[in-house]
Amino acid sequence: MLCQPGNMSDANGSWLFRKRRVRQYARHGYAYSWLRAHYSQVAAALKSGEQSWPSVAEAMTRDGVRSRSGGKLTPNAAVKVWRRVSRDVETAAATNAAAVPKRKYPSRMSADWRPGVVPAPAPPPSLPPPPPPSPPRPSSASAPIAGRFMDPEGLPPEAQQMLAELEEQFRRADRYLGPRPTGKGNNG
Amino acid sequence: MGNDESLQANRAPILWIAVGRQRVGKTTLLNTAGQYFRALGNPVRVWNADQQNRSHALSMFFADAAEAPPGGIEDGKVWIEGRIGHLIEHRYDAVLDVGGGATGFAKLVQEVPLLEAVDERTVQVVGLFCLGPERADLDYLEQYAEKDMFMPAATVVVLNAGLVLSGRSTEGAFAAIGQHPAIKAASARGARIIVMPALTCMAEIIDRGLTFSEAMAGVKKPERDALSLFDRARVNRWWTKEVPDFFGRFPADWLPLPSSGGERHPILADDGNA
Repeated sequence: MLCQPGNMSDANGSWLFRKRRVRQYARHGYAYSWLRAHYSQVAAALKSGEQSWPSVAEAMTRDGVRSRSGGKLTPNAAVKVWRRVSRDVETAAATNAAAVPKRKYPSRMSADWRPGVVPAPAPPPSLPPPPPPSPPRPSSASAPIAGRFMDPEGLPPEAQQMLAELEEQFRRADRYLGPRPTGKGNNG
Repeated sequence: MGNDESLQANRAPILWIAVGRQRVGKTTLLNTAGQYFRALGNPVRVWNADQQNRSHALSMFFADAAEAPPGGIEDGKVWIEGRIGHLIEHRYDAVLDVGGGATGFAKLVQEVPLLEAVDERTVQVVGLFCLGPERADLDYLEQYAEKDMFMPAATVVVLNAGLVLSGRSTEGAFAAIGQHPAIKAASARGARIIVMPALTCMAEIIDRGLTFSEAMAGVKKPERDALSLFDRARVNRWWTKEVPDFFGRFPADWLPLPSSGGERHPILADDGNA
């Protein structure tokens, strides 16, 4: 079943998220279906800091999404639905990755054909609340280099992914290298 | 404070405990957390066991904060034990500022490892190790982890970007911290390392005794000027974007979110804080 999308423009008429068809998921509300349809866009917008949950909730409201009680959707309610969506999307991705693909035999194979090297499985994605996880750092980059916070060698995949996210946090924190506190910052 | 039991129907109560040296941002972190989660709709309780920090203590920002009585380390220890017992009995979320240096909390975990005494199914204890960029800021993490005194499964190492001075980059300032074996050991055990965003005018807000919503709205305290226009814009960005992003990096199970869905958001709320 396809739900009816509404007007997704913000108050100035610009579009926060590209319009997607919203497919209704069984046993889930419209908020869930909306977030799942716009998952990649919302995840990217939150991750980049371009949007925050209040603006996402506003966009959803303008698109006709309401709370369970029919009232205005709050940012907190949207976050809670988002966690379910993130969990289900990642579960679906893991299921798809684990599924045995249909075997397709070429009509003719050369005598010296050999299967390609099977790539090492990627570390499982963690399930943090928004913003969604960034891709894990490749294991080939494990040697310490200047500026790297911690040598990830020997750490479990979850910790390596956490370090990759940490470096993204450093980049965000260092966007502003202007005035810094001169003695009394976030201390106390 | 509301009916606490109704908030905790689906999960164990969450207790955030901030530890670290003096002046690494424990109180600022818990002040931020208290305001944030209250604004989200969870009447998280605030416990102030910092018996040395008087001018910028949590009690200054939360009128309903429970405060350890004046006294010695032993008094502080007994008070913390009593608070945790009360939390277990009445099931609510709380944040605990234990202060730095020789504290009742240090005495408590030296005598009996807290995590042995408290079943994690009964209380989700979240340890917040606050660090500035100085090597000595790791002492608590190193000592507590090595002696297995206090290293919960839910541990966050908070790198306080507000303590990076003199225009250094955050990454460069914390580079030496990252090379220390204590922090790598903590990461291997599942600790999360998260950068607390800096707010350059934090001292201006704290000195005025303002909540972040008040600071953002330009509230003026008696005998003090309101924050400048630019500082208000800085608070706005920090409070509405950077702080939600910061807490969003915590595993959801470690966050004292309202169980029944809050109706308020810090951007919208102008009450429920101090």
